[in-house]
Amino acid sequence: MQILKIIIATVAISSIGISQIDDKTYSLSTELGVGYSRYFTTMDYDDLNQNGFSGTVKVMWNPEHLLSIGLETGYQYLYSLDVSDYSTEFGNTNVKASMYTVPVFIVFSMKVLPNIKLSAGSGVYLLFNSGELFGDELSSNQISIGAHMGISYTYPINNSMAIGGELLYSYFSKLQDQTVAIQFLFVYDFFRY
Amino acid sequence: MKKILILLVSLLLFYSCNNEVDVVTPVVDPSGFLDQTYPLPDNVKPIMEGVYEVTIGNDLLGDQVVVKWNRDRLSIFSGKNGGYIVLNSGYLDSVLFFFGYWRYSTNTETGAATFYIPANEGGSEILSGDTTFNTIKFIGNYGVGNELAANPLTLQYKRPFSQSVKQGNFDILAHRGGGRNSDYLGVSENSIEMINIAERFGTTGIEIDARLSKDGVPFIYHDGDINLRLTQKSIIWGDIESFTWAQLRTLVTLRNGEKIPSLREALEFTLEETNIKTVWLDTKDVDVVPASIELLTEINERAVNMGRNLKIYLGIPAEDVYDKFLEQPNYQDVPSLVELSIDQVREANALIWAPRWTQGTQSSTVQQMQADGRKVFTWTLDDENYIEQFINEGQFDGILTNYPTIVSYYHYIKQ
Repeated sequence: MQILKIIIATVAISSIGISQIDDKTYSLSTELGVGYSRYFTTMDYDDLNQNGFSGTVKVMWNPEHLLSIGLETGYQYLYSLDVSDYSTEFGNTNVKASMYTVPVFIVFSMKVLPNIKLSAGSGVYLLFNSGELFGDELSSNQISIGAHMGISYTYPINNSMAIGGELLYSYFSKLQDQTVAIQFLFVYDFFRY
Repeated sequence: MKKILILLVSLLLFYSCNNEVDVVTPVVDPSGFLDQTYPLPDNVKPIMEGVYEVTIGNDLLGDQVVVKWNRDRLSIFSGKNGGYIVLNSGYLDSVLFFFGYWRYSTNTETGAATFYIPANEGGSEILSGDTTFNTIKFIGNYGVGNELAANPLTLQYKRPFSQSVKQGNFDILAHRGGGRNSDYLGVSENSIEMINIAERFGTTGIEIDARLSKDGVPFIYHDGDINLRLTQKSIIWGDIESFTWAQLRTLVTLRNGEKIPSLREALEFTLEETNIKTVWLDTKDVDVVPASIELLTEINERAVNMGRNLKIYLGIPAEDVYDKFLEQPNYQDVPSLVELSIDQVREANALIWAPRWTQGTQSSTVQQMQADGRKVFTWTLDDENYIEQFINEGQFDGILTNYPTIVSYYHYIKQ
């Protein structure tokens, strides 16, 4: 429900005071983003590493309207923990655990200024958990619904390519945690009609 | 641009709102008064049990309540919102003192409650073990939320429990060890801590959920995955049965801070630390059937040797579990509870048939089962009107519920 509210609100925000563009060209573009992600959680582990890599791949359909729609996937590191000699009721052990996610999202984006877009998306996160405790492997995966929203700036370097940056906020329903990622963006219009 | 920023900030504020409910049970006896009193002797406790009229304080509890001792606490059950009071006790001279809290089962309202029974209002007679008392009057107060207990509340003895209630063997079974996390009881469902307080809600039996860890240790936990409904945030997530027992025990913490109990810990605690007489061991995964049978057989034998009135039944909720059960050697000698058809109950030689409450009171079928020498429990009955109807019109030997306080009230007021 929160995710729906976020999307509706983001689309509403995106719609304020923006007129339709005159360009009648439709295009398909791919957007590659790589950067840094910070995981925000209420988990209480001193040695939790919450900094990691974020990468996204989007394929967007850009009609003559301001609103674009597309699909997104990628990779986002969430956290890892590596503690030696951890004291437990079963004796001391080394604890290793990490989590990363692969989003499968529908995304919407809207140009609010000539070079600035707001985006919002929702779908599922495939969550991959792995590690080791007492010499036994930890391994599980699951699905969480989720959402993200972002703001990006792109600067065209020619007719079909642009580079820029994106600030992306993501929410994971299952974990009730979030990430903020800063990414370098490369945009390529690979098909126009 | 300004509009956008304002809306964006509003959105973030809206999103950051936390709608989680936090029910804080009032501190019992904050002044430590009971420390200066003597504990009530066990033999006098049953004297004060019975049905009481609420002479002052009907707004809180309605017109009548049930007063019932449950192990080390005095519990009071009302017919209003599943309201109940749990009290610690002690006495000085010939006056009995009680400190505790009240709570509505069906919402989150709670507050402090205190009572005393004066010497001339039954205190002397209770303490002397005199069962021919003229009256017993609880005089007290209650507060709402964090308020001091300042609102008057008085209970007047009305009658003892009926003979059918006293002589019956009706089971009040609490779901998930005593209650669900969604009812905010301050301890987590399917935990040792929950089993420890279950009797305060009037329960005589508990239902717990058995699963098997990756390395073959049976433990109690309801859902199939690690999730925030049942646990605090953890570095491990996913299918709970894909982890070893050491991993679960070390890395997973239940919602209110407890560790996941092994099935052995839960059953041994029930045997040794409580007066619970029935355990419905619900089978959440077919693979846990052999380990559950081995353990319940051992604990049942220990109960017999201790002279303890406790029986653990293997719950069989579905066809796959039923098929697995029939593969076990001597399955007909295993105390079991079958939720399926009465033919399957007979084939498994189950001691209990457990139909879902939505199938109605089914009196003739219930009587058939009872004529076979079996008990019949219905589950999971939470609606107050249906609880009243099933107790008064049904022939069940027990009811599984998330609101044992409501079942207790309607059971004990039955004439």
